[in-house]
Amino acid sequence: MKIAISFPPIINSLGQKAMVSQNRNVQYFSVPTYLLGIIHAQAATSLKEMGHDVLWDDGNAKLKSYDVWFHELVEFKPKVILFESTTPVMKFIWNTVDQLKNKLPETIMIMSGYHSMKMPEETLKNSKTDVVLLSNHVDFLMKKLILELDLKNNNLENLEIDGVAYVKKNKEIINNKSFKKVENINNSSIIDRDLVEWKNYAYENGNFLQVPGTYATSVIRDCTFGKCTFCRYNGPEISFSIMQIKKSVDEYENLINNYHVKEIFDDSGVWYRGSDARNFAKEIISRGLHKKNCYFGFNTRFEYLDEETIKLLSEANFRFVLIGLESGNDITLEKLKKGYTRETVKETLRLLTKYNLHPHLTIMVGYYWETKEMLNDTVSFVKYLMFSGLARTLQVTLCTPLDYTPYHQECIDKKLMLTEDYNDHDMSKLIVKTPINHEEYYRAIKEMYSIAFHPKFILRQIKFLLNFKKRDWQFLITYSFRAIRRVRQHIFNLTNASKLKKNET
Amino acid sequence: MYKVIDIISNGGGNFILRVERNNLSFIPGQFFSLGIPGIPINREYSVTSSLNDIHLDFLIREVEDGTLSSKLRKLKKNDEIKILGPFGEFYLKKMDFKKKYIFIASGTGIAPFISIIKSNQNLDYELFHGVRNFEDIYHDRIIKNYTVFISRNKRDISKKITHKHFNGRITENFDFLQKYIKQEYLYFICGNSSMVSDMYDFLEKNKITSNKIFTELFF
Repeated sequence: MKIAISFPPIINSLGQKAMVSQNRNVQYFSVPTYLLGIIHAQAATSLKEMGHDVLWDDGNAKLKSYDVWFHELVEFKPKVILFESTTPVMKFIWNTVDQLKNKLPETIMIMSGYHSMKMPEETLKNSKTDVVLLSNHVDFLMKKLILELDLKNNNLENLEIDGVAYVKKNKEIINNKSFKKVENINNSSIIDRDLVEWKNYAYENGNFLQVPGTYATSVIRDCTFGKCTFCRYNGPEISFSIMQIKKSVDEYENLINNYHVKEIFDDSGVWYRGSDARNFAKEIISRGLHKKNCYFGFNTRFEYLDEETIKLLSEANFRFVLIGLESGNDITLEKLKKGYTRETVKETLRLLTKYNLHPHLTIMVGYYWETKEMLNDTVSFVKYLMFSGLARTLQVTLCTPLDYTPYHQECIDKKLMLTEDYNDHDMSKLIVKTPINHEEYYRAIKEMYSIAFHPKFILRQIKFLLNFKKRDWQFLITYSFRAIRRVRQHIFNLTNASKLKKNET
Repeated sequence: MYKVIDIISNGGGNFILRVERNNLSFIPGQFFSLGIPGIPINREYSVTSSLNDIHLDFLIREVEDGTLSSKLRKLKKNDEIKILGPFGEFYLKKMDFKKKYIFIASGTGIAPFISIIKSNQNLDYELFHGVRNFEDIYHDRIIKNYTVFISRNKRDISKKITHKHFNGRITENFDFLQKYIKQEYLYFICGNSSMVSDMYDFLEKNKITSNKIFTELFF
């Protein structure tokens, strides 16, 4: 069967692109980061392994215009197209599906993603989508669905598998609501790098200090903690699953030896901790992969890694550690159910930087309860962490309710939403009522991004050179240039892009 | 900060950390994040206490090569610990005493069920518990209808067990569990991901739909 896994190019009138991929927030950037959607890439791989003719069709990463992408997809004549969706591009994706359905009336249009998963009937009513996947285990579910479609000669009547909502020929919507929440990730496929044309994602990514870089097949699907209210990895329908260490290190070995990758990032919601993390590092060292000039990185939570583990990770050539700080105010951290306080943040960062890892903080502002005092707490705390060298890089965004997360639902229930237009959820402006003027939050973002240009910060980076580590020289020279480019872009977005109406086609 | 009241061995590698409650509220089935002041590590543990208890009990497995559990075991009375939470939605949402609950756990995954059972003593339930060794069996007279599956130490006849017990993993005893498959029952599963995944498959094969299956994973 011909199957396309498609990501249409989404470009606004300024020529900025938006990326849609797996628990990542859509933002429009003129210098986009091309991110590989891991679970979709695993789905593509497993479908190919089943013998199907799979097209990995990422129009963004392949630098296609919308028209070229559309034309080539129609030419391919797939039997099935799988899309991924999220709130800010729902209308765009619905429109795209409708246009494609006009050209390919026999093709089955399948929608995945956290938004449609929570609101399947909406997508089935507002577009010519045939099937909505109700599970985030897109790879497992697609295998089952394609098997059944094969048996039924692509007939959508009376599907027997769990985890789908679909439209029958008589327009009746069937939502079986039921699906398996826990899948054994060890039974999932390791990504076929050639199939997904990995090099398209290997260079334009600000998190890579060395290129080509790549994202590993995630060792933990979703998040082991899974309680943060703003995050998509939250809710009774989302669970997590852990991959065996050997299976993952086998992939790292393959990526280093056969693809000559220089940086590998695992984008699991939260990476291994405790003895799993230590055993992973030991396995990397025992295979000699720490001496192959390849850095490793991952997402973690504060207070998940102890000194012994961090020391081992450093020896194994780990570098980049992405941590969601979210706020410098304890009331906000508690409301978000983050499970730590600001006091404990410093100690984790102290250990990471002691062993020469590069912590990258993600921060949000504009929570519906965030007062001027809370906002100031965040700005001053972030400045302290950056100036003292406890964190190396940061990323600040507006907290935007998305995909019917608990935070999104809270904003709806409390009647705090300022818009009902999904296009407005693109993080370019605040869309909830707040205790202080929105401009105050935008100013705070600019102030935090401007840390990168502050003499204290630059001096601190120069001091790091005394560690005589190659990564610190690289950071100062290569990475700083890229960081400044991205900082300028973020600031530009806050001042200009929010005024622009998105080009929907 | 909360003061430690006692460390109680529960046999084998498990122990109960008993701490002051200080009016901390929770719903039976939820977990807290625990840490020791001065050590930048926290870990999530489920409460085994009932809602009426004046203290909080956490069932903890001391992990060999673990990061926090061995340090918790060495705590003494009046030592302080950090507690954040509660977290999680693994609890009985609409209590219906006419329904029967099937609780399935592996290891310390039994903890949330202990709290639920102690807090709702008229509950109609069956508790199935997979453990590695005899020593890991949970001892509390309040727990009834408790069936244990022991995967190691299979022939240790010197130990007296008052509970119904079987050899092998819980997922190797589906024949026995078959008689507890009923469409009107609700199934709660808590433990490691492979046990939960295998159990899910077993229930699905027996036509139990996912709206009757509730899971919490331990790792």
